Amino acid sequence: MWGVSESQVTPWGRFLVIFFGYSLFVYIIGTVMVSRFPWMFARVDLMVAVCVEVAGRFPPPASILWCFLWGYVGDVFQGRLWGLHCATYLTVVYLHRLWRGQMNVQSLGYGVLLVGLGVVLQGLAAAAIVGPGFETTAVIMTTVGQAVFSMMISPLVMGPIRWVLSEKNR
Amino acid sequence: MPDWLRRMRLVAVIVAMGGAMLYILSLNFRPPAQMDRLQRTVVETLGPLLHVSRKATQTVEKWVQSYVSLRHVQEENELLKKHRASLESELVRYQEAFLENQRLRRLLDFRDSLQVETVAAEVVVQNAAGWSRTIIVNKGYRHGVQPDMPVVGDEGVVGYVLDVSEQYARVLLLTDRDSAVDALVQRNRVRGILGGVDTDTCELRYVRSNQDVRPGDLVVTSGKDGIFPGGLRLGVVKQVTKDPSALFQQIIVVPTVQLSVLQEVLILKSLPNFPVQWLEGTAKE
Repeated sequence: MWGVSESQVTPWGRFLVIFFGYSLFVYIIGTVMVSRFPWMFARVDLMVAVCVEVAGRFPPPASILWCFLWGYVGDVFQGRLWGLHCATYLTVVYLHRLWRGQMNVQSLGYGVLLVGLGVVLQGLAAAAIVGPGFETTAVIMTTVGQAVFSMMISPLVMGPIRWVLSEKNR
Repeated sequence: MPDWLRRMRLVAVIVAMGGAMLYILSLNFRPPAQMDRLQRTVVETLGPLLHVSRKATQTVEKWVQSYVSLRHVQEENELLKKHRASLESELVRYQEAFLENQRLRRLLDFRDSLQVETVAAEVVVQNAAGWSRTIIVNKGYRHGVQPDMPVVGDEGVVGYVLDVSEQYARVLLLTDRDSAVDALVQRNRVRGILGGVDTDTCELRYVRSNQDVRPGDLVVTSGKDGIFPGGLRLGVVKQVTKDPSALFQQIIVVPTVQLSVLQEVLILKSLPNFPVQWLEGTAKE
């Protein structure tokens, strides 16, 4: 029903490590360190990269659950723009489900591009919600900058997930 | 799995997702108030973890900043050390120049008071610790310097010119054993011959035992040896030893000029008329 064969199902232990442990680790890094960078373009949502890997490797219910859980956590600690994180992660999962037939979803390039797209969507949605307080050029520049920066560092975030869930490592 | 059950599950998932999304979106329209139970759970659970992580990050950040700052301070310290060394050497040069200026000023005053043609010379080589106590000065025949010319400092007699070259002259110091200067005890005009003993002292020889010479007496040139004009300060009596069986007493004299640290001298080219203050009144100094 979800398009995931039995061979693709991740063992529970590793699944939980990624679902809770690694996601929490990345979230803490993002909240404690990345959010304190002095440059706006560097303050990116690292969880988008985790979401891309989760979407590609977890069964859809688990992916959706992940999106709601960590999206909600992100929203709670942000305290405003409720639903932005959830919606972004769900959109990423949806886009992955949409493109998985046409693209090589296992490649790193695909993951990086999807991360960039997710960050762009998130930035544009945030700008649209926050309203006319920002200049369009500034919003676009910041969003593009964040997308590029996210794409640059996403392999570092996605790498450990691929390593933990790799066939060789089982 | 039966088809209806599969459909039911799909419906349940969609309903759950929709409900969750509606709940989350509804939070946008809630007036700010106390967090609901779910939010409190998330915040209370992850809050301490984030707090600890933040503290740890700040600590690491401080370490890094301290390290970077320390590196910066070290570099600055090195720079300041170099700067200080440069300033210190400059200060030493200034101090040297200041002292030289003072010495030259005293020498100039002395020369003016002598009212005689003189040649100022710098000590090039000091050989006071050897067997012969001589110095080499940087003025010679070309400057009008000739053998037997008196050599003085601002505090008194240094010696006399032994021999000369084109540019340099050798001066025999008072403290040389072969040096002999006709001298007087300024207080009572007791006469003797001043010769060298060691690097720092001289002896006033050939003074009979019945003559009155006391420690502290000033010894000056008599002007009768054909080299030195009369009245130039030679030294101060340091010690007098009288032996009843001996014909002469032993009188140790310390030169008024510190010969071991001599740097500039005046060579007298003609016999001067000495000012009164150089002749009298400084016996107890």
